[in-house]
Amino acid sequence: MTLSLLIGLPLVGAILVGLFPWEKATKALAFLVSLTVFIFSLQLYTQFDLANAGFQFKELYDLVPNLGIHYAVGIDGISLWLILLTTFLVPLVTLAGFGAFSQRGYYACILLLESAVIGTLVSTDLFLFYVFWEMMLIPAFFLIGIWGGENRVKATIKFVLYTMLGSLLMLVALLYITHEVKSFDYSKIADHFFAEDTQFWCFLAFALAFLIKVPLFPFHGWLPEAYVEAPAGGTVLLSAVMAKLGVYGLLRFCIPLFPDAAKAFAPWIMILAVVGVLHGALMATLQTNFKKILAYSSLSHMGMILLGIFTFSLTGLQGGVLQMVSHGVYMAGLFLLVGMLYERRPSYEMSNFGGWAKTTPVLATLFLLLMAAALGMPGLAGFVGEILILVSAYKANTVLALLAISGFVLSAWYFFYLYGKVFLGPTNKKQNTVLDLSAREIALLLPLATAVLWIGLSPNFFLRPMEKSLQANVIERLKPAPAMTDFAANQRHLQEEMEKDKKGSR
Amino acid sequence: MLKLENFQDVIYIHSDWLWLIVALPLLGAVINGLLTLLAARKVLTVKPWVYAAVACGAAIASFIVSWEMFLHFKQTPDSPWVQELFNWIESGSFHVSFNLELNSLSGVMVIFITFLSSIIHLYSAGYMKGDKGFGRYFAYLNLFLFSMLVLVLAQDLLVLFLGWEGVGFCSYLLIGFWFEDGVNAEAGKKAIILNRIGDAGFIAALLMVFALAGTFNFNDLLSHKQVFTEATATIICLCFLFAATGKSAQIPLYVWLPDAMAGPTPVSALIHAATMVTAGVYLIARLHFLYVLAPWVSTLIAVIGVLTALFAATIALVQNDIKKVLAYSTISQLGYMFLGVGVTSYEAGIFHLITHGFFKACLFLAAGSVIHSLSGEQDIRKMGGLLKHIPVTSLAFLMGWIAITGILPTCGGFFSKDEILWKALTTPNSIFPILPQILYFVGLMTSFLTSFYMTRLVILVFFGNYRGDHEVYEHLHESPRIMTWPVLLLGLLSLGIGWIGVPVAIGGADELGRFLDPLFHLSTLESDALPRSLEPMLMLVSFAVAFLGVTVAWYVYSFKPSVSKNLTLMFAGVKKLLDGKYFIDEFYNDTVVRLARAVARWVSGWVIETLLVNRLVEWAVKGISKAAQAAKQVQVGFVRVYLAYVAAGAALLIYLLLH
Repeated sequence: MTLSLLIGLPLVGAILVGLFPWEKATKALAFLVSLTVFIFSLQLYTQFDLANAGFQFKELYDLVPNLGIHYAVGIDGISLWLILLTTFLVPLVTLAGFGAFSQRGYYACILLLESAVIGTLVSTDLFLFYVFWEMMLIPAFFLIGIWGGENRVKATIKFVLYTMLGSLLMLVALLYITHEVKSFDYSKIADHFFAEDTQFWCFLAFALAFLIKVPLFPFHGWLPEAYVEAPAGGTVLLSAVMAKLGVYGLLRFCIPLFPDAAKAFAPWIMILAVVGVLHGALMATLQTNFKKILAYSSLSHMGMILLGIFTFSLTGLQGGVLQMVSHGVYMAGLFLLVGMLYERRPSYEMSNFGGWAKTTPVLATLFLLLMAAALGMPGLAGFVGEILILVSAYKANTVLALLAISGFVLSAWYFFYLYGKVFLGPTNKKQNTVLDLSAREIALLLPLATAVLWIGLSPNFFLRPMEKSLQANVIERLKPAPAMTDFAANQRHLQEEMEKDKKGSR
Repeated sequence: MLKLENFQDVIYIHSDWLWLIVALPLLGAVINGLLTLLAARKVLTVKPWVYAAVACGAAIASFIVSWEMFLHFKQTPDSPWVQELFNWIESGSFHVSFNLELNSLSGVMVIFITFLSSIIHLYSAGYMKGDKGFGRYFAYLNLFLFSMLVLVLAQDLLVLFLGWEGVGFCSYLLIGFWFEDGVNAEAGKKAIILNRIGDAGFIAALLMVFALAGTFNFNDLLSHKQVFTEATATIICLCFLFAATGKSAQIPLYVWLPDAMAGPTPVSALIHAATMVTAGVYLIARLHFLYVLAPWVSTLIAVIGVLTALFAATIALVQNDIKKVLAYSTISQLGYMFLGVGVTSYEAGIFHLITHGFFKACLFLAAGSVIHSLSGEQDIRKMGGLLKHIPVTSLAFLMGWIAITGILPTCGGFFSKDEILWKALTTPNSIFPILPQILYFVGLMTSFLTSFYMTRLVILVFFGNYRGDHEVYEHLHESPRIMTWPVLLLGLLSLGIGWIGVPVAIGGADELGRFLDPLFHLSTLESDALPRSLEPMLMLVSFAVAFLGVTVAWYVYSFKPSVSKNLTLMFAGVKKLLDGKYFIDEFYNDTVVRLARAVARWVSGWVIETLLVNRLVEWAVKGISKAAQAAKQVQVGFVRVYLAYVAAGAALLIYLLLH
């Protein structure tokens, strides 16, 4: 019942928040609900069986028996961390909204989104998955469309159109494959072998839906506006949670269901990922709006994650999934801090800021810490995933890995530019009235700061539970040629190379 | 040439307490950081001496611990001490544990770093007195010390990289310490971005090392060195060299260091003279077993080193900011260290690293004391005759001057610089046989320039008549004892420090060389070109050159100021070139920075983002909506038209059925 409760609690919470008579208390109620969900979700970790690579916490009920649609849920090591990331972030997002929003609808949307996200992550029935996947869009639509910035309408339309396009293609492919297998059950579909053509087209349709959500370059047309116009909490949910669902979809569906097509497409996706890393970083250097810098840096970092995933090696996959969690944590923190800056001075233009490290030292310190994590400072969250991704990408494609390193240089360029413009330099006189973070704001950022250090120093805690599942549910399905993972193989490879060198020199 | 096969299995001694060396400064940083933030929130008020006591206490305690350990370690220097702290990253074949290793090299470095930091921490307590960011300053300084110690004690390239990035980050924070001035913030940004460019080389090298050897552990790399061919070692070493030129401010990435003088002076002494900037030299020395496989790269290091030494020394000739002169001097001296490790004489490079650390820290701290006495004045044209006003500071500065110029044989950097020049001359180069002579000659010329600009500085600051503002003169005072005593101590030590490596050729014991030799001697190329008995002769030559430099400068600046003026007039073009620092900054701005900006703006911003990602989609959307508009025309709303559609459809159907 654990997973059903995890889906149901926020859903019921959303309804309660919507109906609660006393509007002023709804935010407190929403926070309490999401905190309860988080505490409840911790048992997923404590009761998780590390030795089991398959789905755990399984539940199965008939939903529409004559169509073969079931209510089937379960989690493995991949979804485990994404669920915990979601339940960890939602209470913080709710708490962060206290200053700016008191409408019940805002909090109801957040809880509804949480429910949909968890539903998407636990579904092992493709129909159920699709329902939850589409359900996510509704609260996200309202969050940006109602509580967003000035240009929220255009941003919302773009976001919805892009997403719907992908989703519709996915629906067609989904109906096709379920028709072929005569089942919506994930395991059955995964064990089924699809013909080469089917794989090709279905991979394309599924991947497009997921890659738009991530987004992968060049499907990111919706991203800058949606990220900037959404309220802080909305941006956090978009970048830290929903973007990860795109990658999750690739890991759970595209790659295991259509392995041959995945292998065929992998080089192209890796190239696009690296282009995205560079393009996002270069675009970030051009912006004067610091929320847009973060939006583009998010694009750049998501490219890194895809680069790791599509190496199809254990190290790359683990690096990718770990980086999803890290990115979720530090980006959530940075976007929340941007929201806090906005509450103090309603602008995202860097020229309206300067010298804030003096007036708001705690805010500046926390920003610096989370920024350092985003920069890939060793010892903090971003680095471990990045180095794992790069190491495995180097084995897969040397040139791409070396190009991706320049993302690491460029990130220093735009991040230190941002920090200098906003927090350093002379202070503006008007700013003297600006207040540093309140106790509530510190309380909601401290868990993120702790998480950033935790992931950076003890990544094994996060890597271990996902190892078996990635091996069984992704790598085994791809049945790769024996990879050179051990030292002996390396040496053999080297000797061959040395011999080649010798021949060449002769 | 490759004697690496002779490396023997090393016996490691487990140590339970190495972590204390790094943990103490970290603890100090955390305590001071929290206290500062709490004080900023007015939760509690913290007296300044508390910050100073915590930070100095942490640094000194770390020094005492490492000194104790080093004394024990020295008895069996062939067995490194290792402490396995925790498993850092484990993923498939990727395995990194967070280990610390105390061997003869890291041991010497740890003693050197903790000792100098302790002194500079104490000095800072006086120098930064009354500053609003007192607590923040000490938190950063302790954090720096932690990172630096991790860097040298790391047993693993990835852990070393943690320290490497950490020191860079602390350097950013400390250069921009007085961030309310935009110039300082800008200088910090420049430093960290240039360092990051270098670090790209570091990461690239990490990837290659892992792809080849499957490990980052130095000792595993050493025992598996056969996986590196000359070609792969060359590329890897080049990448590491690129990172090292960033951190150690060598051509082509040196331009950040002069700007870094925007930070508080003790920071310049500790980070930008004595410790952090030597990390590049340390990295190359630590990877000696790779560099010996890549003679091309070693040659390149020597050439870069000697060119940087000469280049920076010429710029130092015309600088008018006391800290800028010292900054260029640091770049120049780092060039000597590169020369040393480039000719595979790693002991000589490390030897000079240590002597330079002492005398340059002394010079910087004394300069800081001068600036402090003159209420913040840094322009040497507004100084003069300070010897009689601030005698203790002057004395310390003069000791540093003696040490750097090598004007008194056996003092300061005399032996270390000489060792490097000797090795440069006598180590044969298989690629360019003539190179040793060139390296030696350029090195000697730099030595002349060094004596010249340092003497110029000393005369303009401490001798002659005071040329500054009257108001500053009124407040002219000697610095407090918390500042002068550490400087004086450093001055005395920098005079004597050379005695840890008195060359054997003149009957010395060369203690440092002998101590480090077991680590390096298999990677060091034999120098057999000239008999060792020639070394005293060459020492005399060095001395003569230094003496000449001092005398000429003394003559020009003390007695014949007109000479300098006439020379300036005669070589106006050269003067302009030197004043403009060869316009390298401008060159970089006009080429690399501009190119990057143009690519970002036009390729990414316009072609890709605007045209491909946005316009194309907009056109597609417009096309679809046009098509929809067109399709809408079909629905005209008249029954007769719909009837016509039905008739046409029926006709088509009948036609199709009939055929």
